[in-house]
Amino acid sequence: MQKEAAFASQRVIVTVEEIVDASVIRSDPNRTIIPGIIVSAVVHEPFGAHPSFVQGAYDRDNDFYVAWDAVSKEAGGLKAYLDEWVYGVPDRAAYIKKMGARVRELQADTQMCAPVNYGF
Amino acid sequence: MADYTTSELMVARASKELTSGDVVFVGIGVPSLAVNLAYRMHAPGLCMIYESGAVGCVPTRLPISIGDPCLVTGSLAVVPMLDVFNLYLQNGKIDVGFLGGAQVDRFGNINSTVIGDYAKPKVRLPGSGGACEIAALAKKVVITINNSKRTLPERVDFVTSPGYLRGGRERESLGLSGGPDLVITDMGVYRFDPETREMVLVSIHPGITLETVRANTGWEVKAAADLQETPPPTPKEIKIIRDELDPQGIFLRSRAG
Repeated sequence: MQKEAAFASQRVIVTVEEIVDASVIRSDPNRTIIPGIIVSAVVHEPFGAHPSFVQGAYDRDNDFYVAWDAVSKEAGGLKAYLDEWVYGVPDRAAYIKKMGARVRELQADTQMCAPVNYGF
Repeated sequence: MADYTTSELMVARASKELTSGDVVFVGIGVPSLAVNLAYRMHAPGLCMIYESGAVGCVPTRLPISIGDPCLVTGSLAVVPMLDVFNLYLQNGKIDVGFLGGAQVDRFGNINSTVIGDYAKPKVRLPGSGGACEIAALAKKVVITINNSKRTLPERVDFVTSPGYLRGGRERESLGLSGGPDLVITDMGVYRFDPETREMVLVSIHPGITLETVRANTGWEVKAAADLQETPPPTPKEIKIIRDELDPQGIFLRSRAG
């Protein structure tokens, strides 16, 4: 679904965990979802998906989603959350710092896939 | 005294239609030679797309099929064929498409379907493949074909791939933009008149006369007032074509279209 949305857009901005050399992408072209020819801008923002996940980088913060019910039940609770965690932090780096140990807990384990031979 | 072949001249001329930022839909044959020559000569940023689904290819040898694995290795992305036609071509991402065929007519319509009547064919040809979509949807189309009364009739027997249809604004009235921009033959190069949308000879290859061109075209083709001579390929271009791109002469010997 991400791919179709990107191609349907006038402009595409991608936020990424890591910027790598093009040769890394070209080493396994079957994994490229969004080609550079349709990308307008790239934002390098590690941990940018929290509370969601990036496979291989950090886990989904399921505790957060469970706790969200109580937080978002009333306008007062929602406002308090936004004041503290959205409007109250200057940027993502500050957000990560404020999260503290939880960030380390969410770091992904390692489970590498089988390599592919692109020789011919 | 030529030290190059007409095919090589056509390939070199076609390669000039590409610039480094272009996204180009590549077919097998002369188009593949022209695009790969452009990539090596002056357009290292070219994004080549083959309809099998390889995007941003960097083939280390000349592919002889759209299914050649050299197109996959090192490419930017491998996508379903459906994506190539929907998300790239129909979506307006293709700057240039190269096409050939059995016949091209006065208004740049291409026939690769049938010679004679569709119901009772004289010769049944392979058909459109991706050609019709490319002709309809690429921002610019470059056509390569031989120059003869048989291959350049006034009107094709069958419109496989639309050019300017019957001329004027008919193409636009159907909601299409783009269209053929250039026709390169073994005798000359044609562009399209901005009003009538018919082919007009703009340059003629060395050693060819206007009389010869007219004797080998299916209508009284107009020539530009400032008719140029097509520049021959440079030694560097010839070397790349012969040594790197088509050392076995697979395409250069069975040429054009």
